[in-house]
Amino acid sequence: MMFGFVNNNCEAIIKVAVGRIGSPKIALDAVIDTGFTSFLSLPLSVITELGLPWHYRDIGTLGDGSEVVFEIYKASVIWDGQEQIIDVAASDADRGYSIHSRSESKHLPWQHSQRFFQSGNSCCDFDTHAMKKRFITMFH
Amino acid sequence: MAVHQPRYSKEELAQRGDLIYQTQIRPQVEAGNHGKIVAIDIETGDFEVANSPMLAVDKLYERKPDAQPWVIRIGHRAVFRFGSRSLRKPV
Repeated sequence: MMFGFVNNNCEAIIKVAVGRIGSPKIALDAVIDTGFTSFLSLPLSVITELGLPWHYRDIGTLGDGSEVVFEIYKASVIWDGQEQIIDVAASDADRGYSIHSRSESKHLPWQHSQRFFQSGNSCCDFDTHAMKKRFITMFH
Repeated sequence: MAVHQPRYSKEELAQRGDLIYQTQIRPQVEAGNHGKIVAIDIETGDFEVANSPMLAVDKLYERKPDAQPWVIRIGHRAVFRFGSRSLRKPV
């Protein structure tokens, strides 16, 4: 079981440690969110800071139905006390990604998905469906 | 762990990957594999099918350590999706 809190923006927050496999991790605050079906996504600046290795490319569909090629990196997270290897999609601020609105996130059940963000304007989300291996993302 | 780096632009990798999938791989994998993942090395045309992108790509790298993987979800236009919040502009 994991515990979190609700911040002043009515966002449900949970802490997760993310990093390169076999390396020290940094703690990110996660905002619970839905609408994501894939893995963790972080701003490229965070990916670079963590030194995550590039893994592959694929396509993600945005909220308006448009399709975008994503760089996918590999990372590990500590989730519910267990280390898991995950894919991380690199976000691109130039595409206008943003932090999810509180009006959407406050209604989301925690078991469906989450979003992390760091202090400042970078953030990320991940889908925690069944709290297993699905993570996703966000950005600015 | 081997270090992998992309050697192609996003556009070229996607175009080559899609072409290989449509012309060579799709007829082999589509039946009975809807929703599964195929990872394609765009330089050799080698591919692996698995239930997740990580599994498919890792299997491809095992065979082709220098692969340039392009990943497709069989029967879908995209591998994953974002919600409407992906379109929200920064404040």
